[in-house]
Order: sequence, then C-alpha cells, then structure tokens
Amino acid sequence: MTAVESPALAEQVTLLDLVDRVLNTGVVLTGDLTLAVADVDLVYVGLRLLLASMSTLESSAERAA
Amino acid sequence: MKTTDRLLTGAGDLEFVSRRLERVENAFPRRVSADPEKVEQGLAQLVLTLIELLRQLMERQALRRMEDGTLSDEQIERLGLTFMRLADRMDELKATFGLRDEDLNLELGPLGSLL
Amino acid sequence: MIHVYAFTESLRDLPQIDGLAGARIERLRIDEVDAVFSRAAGRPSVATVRRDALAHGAVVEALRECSAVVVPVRFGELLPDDAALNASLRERLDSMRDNFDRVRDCVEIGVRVYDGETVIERSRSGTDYMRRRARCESERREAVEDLNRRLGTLSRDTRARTDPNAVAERERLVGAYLVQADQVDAVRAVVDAFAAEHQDLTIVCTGPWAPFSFVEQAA
Repeated sequence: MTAVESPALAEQVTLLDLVDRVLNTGVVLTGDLTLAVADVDLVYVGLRLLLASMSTLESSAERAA
Repeated sequence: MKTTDRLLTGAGDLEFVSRRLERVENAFPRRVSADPEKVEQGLAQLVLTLIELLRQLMERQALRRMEDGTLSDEQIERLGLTFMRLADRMDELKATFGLRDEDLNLELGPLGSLL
Repeated sequence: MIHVYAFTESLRDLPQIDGLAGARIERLRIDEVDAVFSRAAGRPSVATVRRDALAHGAVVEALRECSAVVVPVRFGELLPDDAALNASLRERLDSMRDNFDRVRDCVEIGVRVYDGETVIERSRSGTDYMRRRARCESERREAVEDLNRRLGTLSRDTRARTDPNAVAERERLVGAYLVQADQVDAVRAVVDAFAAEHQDLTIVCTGPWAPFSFVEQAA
C-alpha cells in the first residue's frame, strides 16, 4: 500500500517530513542544540516502531473486513 | 588480497554498512518471546536480514567494479550466478519460516518504514 | 527560558494556536521584524520530542497565513531570558532581511524518491543478470538526476541529495525546492508525471512548507 492510497499513511508521511525539517533545518540561534544526534535517531526509531505497528494494524483490519 | 578483502575498500561503503547495521540493531526484537516457534522465526528474520544486507552490499560493489571495468568476464558471470542462487536459497528459507520480503527490508531514513 | 519558532516580516496578528506544551505564543518586534516565541518550563526531552517538534512545526506553518515572510528557526535551542531574545533579534536584523528577500513569495516543496521493492529477476546467465542490473541502476540514476534538474529549473533554489554511488541504496533523492507560489502547480505536475512513468519507484512529495531548508545565518 503506498502512502497515496491510504489517507492515514499520507498524513503520517507528511508529519514525519515536518519533524525531519524542524529537527534538521532552520536558523540556528546559539549552536547549543539540546538534542544530540543520537537522540534524534531515537525519534526516528520511535516513529518507525509506531508506524510499523500502525501499518500492521491497518492490514489486520483489512484482512478482518 | 583475497576477494573478501577487496570488497570493503571504499569509505562510502563503510558508511553504507554502518548505517544499515544501526538499523539491524534497532530491529532486534524488544520483547523476548517464550514461544519457541516465534524465537526461531525471529532469529531467522535477523539472519536473513543480515544476509540480504550483505547481498546488497556485494552487489553494489560488484556493479561498480563492472562499470569501472575491473572485473573479468568470468568474474561477472560467476557473481551474477551467485547472486541469483543466493536469492533462490533465501526464497526457500523465507518460505520455510513464513517471512515476507517486507520482513527483511531495513528501512532507510525516517520515511523508509512507510514504503 | 525562551523557545523561538521563527522570525517574520510584517506579522499582523499572532495565529490562534498554542505553542509547545500549551504555552501561549508571543512576539517581540523590532522594526518590521518579529521573533515569535513561547516560554518553556525546561529543556525538551527525547520522550516528548515528536510531540514538541510537531507543535513547533505547526506554529511555523500557521505563521505563513499571518505574515509576509516566515523564516523558521530550528527546533532544539533555548534562550535564557527576554534580554537574550532581544539581543539575538537585534543582532540578526540584517541577516533576517537578507533571508526575507531570499525566500519572499516562495514555499518549500519536498520530494523524495525511493526504490520500490527489490525484485530479483532471474536471467539465463550470470552475465545477463549483472548487465540487466547495471542497466536498471543507471536508468534509475539518470531518471532521478533528470527529475532533479527539471524541478530545479522551476525553482528559485534547490537543496538536493542524489548519491550517484548509491547502487542498491533505496533512497535515490532527497530534495527540497524553493518554489514561487505560482509555480507550485507546475512542480506538482512534473512530480506526478515522473511517478506515473516510474512505477517501480516510490515518490513522496510534501508541502508547501515554510522555507526551512533555505534560510541562512549570518556568517
């Protein structure tokens, strides 16, 4: 299933892209970013687990329907 | 130098491998299952994922060497056969353990998990 | 402590939206430039990063409706107090004006191209297999470079990553394009046409966003 076919996934993709932008781009004021790179990766891992479980839920729901 | 020594010489490849390995680490199941079948499947998934990672790395290297013209015709033929045979073996193992292609794909980047 | 969302030009009213952890958004104005901020209880934690980052992004996006130009600030920093905010804004006035001019009337469109599922095509011989793989890779590489070029001609600026060495790498292109508002439809059309023509690739097109990737700090 592609992002386009599922509105829920499309929304998650969009939100993820926004988070990616907010964390990695934009004006830097002090250079003292409170999040280390490793922490940012944790965000991605957390998101990945969330989204993996989301798509599992969706496909289970489909099979049940 | 043995073939295996030559395979990991580009700095870009180390980056490629280390990024993929990080994701393998993240793919370790977080809950330990008491069900032996699930444990077996989990291990199979991990092993096959690593093999798939190596296969992609090696194929990437081989294709680059082929483009550079530093592979003999015999090497190209042998490598191609090896990649295809490896894929056959993996299909058999995937079927045995009830694993799909998606189970072996290590996501790249923040959006990879969705694709 | 002060959390800053963006600098804006000619901000009218603040948007009706909460900041991080429900904090009220506030503004500090010098001349035509506003720093939009909220007060934070403490430093962001990993546990709340996703929620906070989204809240930060939501404020930045809402500001697009309320001002002439928005220059986003990166998430993750805090200024100690109002005096520091004042000083920061004052010393950045010229730099922000340069930024405003650079991105005026433009939005950011994000385009990512990934390989679809890896399909191993069996061939008669090892050589045939390798040749077909090599051809597939170079065709994809060229197609993606061509896409990036075409999008570039429709954009005022481009920040794109295509790795020509990324054989068997699923991520083919990660691009941000600074596009004038009246060119957004044309950009979308190019992306849609590319997606239709390359069913074996997955294309993700997001936006319009504020110009996150195109703002610079003073040297």
